[in-house]
Amino acid sequence: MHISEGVLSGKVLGVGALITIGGTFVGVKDLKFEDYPKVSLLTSAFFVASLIHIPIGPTSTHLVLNGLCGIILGWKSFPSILLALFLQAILFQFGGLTSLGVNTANMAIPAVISYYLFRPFLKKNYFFSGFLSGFFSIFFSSLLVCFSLYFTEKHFINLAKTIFIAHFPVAIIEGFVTGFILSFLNKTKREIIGD
Amino acid sequence: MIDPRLKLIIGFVYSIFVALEKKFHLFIYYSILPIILFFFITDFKKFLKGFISINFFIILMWIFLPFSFPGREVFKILKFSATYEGIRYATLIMIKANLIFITNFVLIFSSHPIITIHALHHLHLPQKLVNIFFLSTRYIPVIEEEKNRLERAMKIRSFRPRNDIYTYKIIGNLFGLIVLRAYEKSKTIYKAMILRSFSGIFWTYHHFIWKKRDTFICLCAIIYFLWIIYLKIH
Repeated sequence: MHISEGVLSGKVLGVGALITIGGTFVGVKDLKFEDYPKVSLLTSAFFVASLIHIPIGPTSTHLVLNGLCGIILGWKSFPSILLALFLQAILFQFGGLTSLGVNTANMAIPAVISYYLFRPFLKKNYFFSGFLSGFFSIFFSSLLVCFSLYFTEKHFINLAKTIFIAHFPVAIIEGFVTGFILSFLNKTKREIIGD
Repeated sequence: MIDPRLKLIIGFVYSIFVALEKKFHLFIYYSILPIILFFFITDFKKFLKGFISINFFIILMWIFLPFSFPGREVFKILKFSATYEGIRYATLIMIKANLIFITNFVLIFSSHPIITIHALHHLHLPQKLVNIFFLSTRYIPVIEEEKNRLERAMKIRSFRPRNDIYTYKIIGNLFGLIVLRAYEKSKTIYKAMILRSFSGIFWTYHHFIWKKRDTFICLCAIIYFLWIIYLKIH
């Protein structure tokens, strides 16, 4: 999901950076004093999620959970995902500094959309709305990755298609895991989700 | 030690220059900085790890690009023909990614994240963002230890991840528990912050001191970038 340095064109990098700056500004704007610990610690938790591996067929994948991040943090998922990707870039060299804007936008836009789309249905069925948000976020993120590649160079289309297809099983697994996490949080501590 | 603020700016400007470059012959001049910096690498194990993870995406590029660009055919595998244009594009991406990686590895990645965020703070990143960055970077090792503890407990009870719903449920519960612990910790931290009358700024003990050497390096970098702009125009 992380696009490396030097792949994308100037236009795509610029648009991604602008979206990320705008989203982060909105996310940070109405951040109150008492929100700092909650947002920061949940950001740490979402960073740690990327260290948890799940088997998928013969290989394995790591959790992304941008759907859950969106449902819990809303617009604040922009700064949260920005930090997580920044740390992944400087610690493990996944992605890069120039592509940080595009990568953050690709992950955080679906998170914010799933906040508006699935949060209202949360009370009806935690597992099902969690599944939908997890599935949708990864699905839409991989679509955005494909678009960023396609707008850079039209001949990237084969690579983009492969990335899109490869992320489909990941999206289903993310859906299940997100659903189970939300029903767990519903049973144990509902105030984290904010109900 | 060079000033972290200066290192961050040089690394970032260099990355943007290289990422936006399309002319092949200019990369000889771009490679001067990474070649100099290569001799300052201390942790080769970490370097190799990063090198592999950077080039993983590049390998994907090499598999697809030569066969999807139209143009002059170089060789053929089954029905698919690799073109000169495709190979050229893949090479360009490979050179760009690796030059940026070597430069940033020495300038930015080798120092601790907290130092980098501190430098960003001095470069006028918004205070609210810096606060979140500081707090969560500080607590990542704590949450990670929590995760390792829970995973050890799962292992002791002979949990083996498989490709089934049961595994997804257990992993879901594991992460749910991590979120729960993180949330409870955040409440304690909030109380501690109130107790110490937190006013919205994290004060730091260590301060960056700008030395004469930094001015010299800064001048060298400016001359280097101006020279490259000159070469780009002509």
